[in-house]
Amino acid sequence: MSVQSPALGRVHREGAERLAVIDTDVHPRMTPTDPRFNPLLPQRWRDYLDLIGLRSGELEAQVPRQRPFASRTDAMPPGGGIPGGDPAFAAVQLLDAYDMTAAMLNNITAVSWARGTGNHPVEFQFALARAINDWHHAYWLEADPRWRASINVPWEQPAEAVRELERCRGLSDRFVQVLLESRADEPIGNPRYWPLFEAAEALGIPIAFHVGGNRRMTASGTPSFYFEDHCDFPLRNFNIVASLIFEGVFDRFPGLRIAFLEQGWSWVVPYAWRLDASWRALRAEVAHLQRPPSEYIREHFWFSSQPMEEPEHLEWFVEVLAMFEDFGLADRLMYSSDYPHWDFDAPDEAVPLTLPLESRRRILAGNASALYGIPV
Amino acid sequence: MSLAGFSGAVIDCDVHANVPSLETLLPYMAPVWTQWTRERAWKGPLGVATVYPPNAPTTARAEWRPDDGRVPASELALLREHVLDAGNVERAIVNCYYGVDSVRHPDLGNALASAINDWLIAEWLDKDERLAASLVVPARDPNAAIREIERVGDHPGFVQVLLPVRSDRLYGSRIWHPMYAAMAARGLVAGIHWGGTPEGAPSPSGWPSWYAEEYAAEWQVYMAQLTSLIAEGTFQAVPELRVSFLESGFTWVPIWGWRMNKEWKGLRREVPWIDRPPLDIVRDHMRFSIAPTHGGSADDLATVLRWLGTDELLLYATDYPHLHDDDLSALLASLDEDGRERLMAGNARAWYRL
Repeated sequence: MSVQSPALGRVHREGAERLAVIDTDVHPRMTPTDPRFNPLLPQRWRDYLDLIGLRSGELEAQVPRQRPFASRTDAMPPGGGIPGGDPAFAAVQLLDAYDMTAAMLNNITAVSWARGTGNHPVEFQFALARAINDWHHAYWLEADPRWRASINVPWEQPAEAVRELERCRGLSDRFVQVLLESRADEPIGNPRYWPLFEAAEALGIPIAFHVGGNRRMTASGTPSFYFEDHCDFPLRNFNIVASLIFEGVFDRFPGLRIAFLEQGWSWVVPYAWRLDASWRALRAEVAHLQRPPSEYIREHFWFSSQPMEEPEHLEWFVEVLAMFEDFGLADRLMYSSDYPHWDFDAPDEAVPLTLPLESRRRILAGNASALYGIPV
Repeated sequence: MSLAGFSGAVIDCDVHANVPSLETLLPYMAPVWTQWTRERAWKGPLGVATVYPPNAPTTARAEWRPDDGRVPASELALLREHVLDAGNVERAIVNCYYGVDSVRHPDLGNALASAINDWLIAEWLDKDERLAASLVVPARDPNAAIREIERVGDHPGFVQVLLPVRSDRLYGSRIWHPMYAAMAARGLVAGIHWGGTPEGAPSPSGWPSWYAEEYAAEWQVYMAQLTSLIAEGTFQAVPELRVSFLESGFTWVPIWGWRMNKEWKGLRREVPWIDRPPLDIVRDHMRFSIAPTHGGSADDLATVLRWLGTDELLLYATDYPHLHDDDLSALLASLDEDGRERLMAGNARAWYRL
């Protein structure tokens, strides 16, 4: 297999200026039998894997992806393995190719394995979460200073999730975020999850939501096609936002910041109108809220860009971005590539060159720099 | 009833007829059900109170709640007083959500659906020629639904079949296609409407705690149904099928359509029956009621209307007796005179062939 062509990657420039790029959504991946990963598990759970094997938690993959691992075919590492499995190759194909300042590792495979509930022993899931974070630390963060990592936690078991979060922050301050799946056993604002929010707020790191392979894909059944499933990713956002706001999470944890990854962003302003209307109509029911829902959205939410919104006319893109920015969210949209997946967005193609330079600077790096404390 | 200064003809595409009590329906059911319900002191399906909490401000506007304790919107006289005679209403489409889908007993579900339809004919359609109605089906069972469509679907007053938006199987699923064929054969629209009590929680992540939370987030299930209808090739399988989304809002529709268009470009080989951009299929086969609208400023709303790409997609509705925090004047101000007439009556007249 040939190494990727340099022509595929481009340094992002505006005249003589190199525009900094921070990629907020990159997907590393490993198999539990990977000789780099497997030894990170305790012997008890290596034996369990030998005996039982990994029963896929990725039930969403029952709707088969259109390519192996939903990935770019050129992302297969030349040295073998799977897309996202070779840190050095990913650094060449992504970080070097686009001269990125930093990129965030979001391990959504592991999100499915180590939720803290499901068809594996809970202690095994705890061990998987630890091993995954150790793998990110040893093979990615230590290998290249440009990587940042989200922390995988078994969030359905919040006490252990908090322990793991604090352990990872002790390993490296380049663990800068907590990664959750966009579906949980209960609406995510439920008080049972609050210990995790309390810990994230205390550490000053955001909670991110990304789609992963959870069990329940819609409230009314399972999509039949990958096309359908992929269109439906953002529908999980609506319960997350409503639950966090109406349960009073932000009144209790005013420093908490939430990032939506690969979940779209053009829905945010219309949904804020709807949330505010719901609050006005049912205000007495949620009298504990201090302010209208839209104000919590302005204060607490960030969004990654990929797959970049693609209205039917380019001028509508300008309108939808203007609606988002004018709503008070100009510092909330963050470039992401989704490497190594098939619907990869390159920084110089996904963020229209027709946008004002200031907007492009914010989207490509500035907003993520501020959220995650990454210098540019 | 304020029409924000609009003085033309009005077709109200979503007014409710609420069943006053189970006793109302028993005369329309076989005697065995009278015996069955009395032995159990069964008061009727629980689904209706789950979907519309009886005391919630959204379930009935204060001015539409009878002082004497009668169920809001439960009599033609109330509908006349509050809607039909209060504005220049040419036609109104009556929808009855009684939570029939929450009944698991298959024969009882069928009997209730039939009773509601016969009650709608006797007490509403036959008594006011301005009314049209959606027929109620036992929505858990496509075969039983087809039988009910065959039984009463040719009645000229029925223009639509009411399907609760929450279902056990997504509405594009092939199991539903014969039911859509039965509708299309009679010119009936599929009206996908707020409600439904499927297995499990009404969200991908458990049970919302607050009604305000559930109400706001309900977009998600309409979106899942819309994607499913497109993805499964429903409109290719039944080309005459028309689908109305009721109580769904619509400001999300262009945004959702863009996402479908984009994914279709990348993945269309998986769904080759989708022969053009999905949002174009939506425009040809679907309509959306405007209650609730939940728009932002008038300028924002005008932008969203432009993104819809045509002024033919929206259907005026009060959603009587429900309360939504909406401003009809902002919507009307976003349209030109032709567009206002289409919104208030013309679109519905054409869509429902009234």
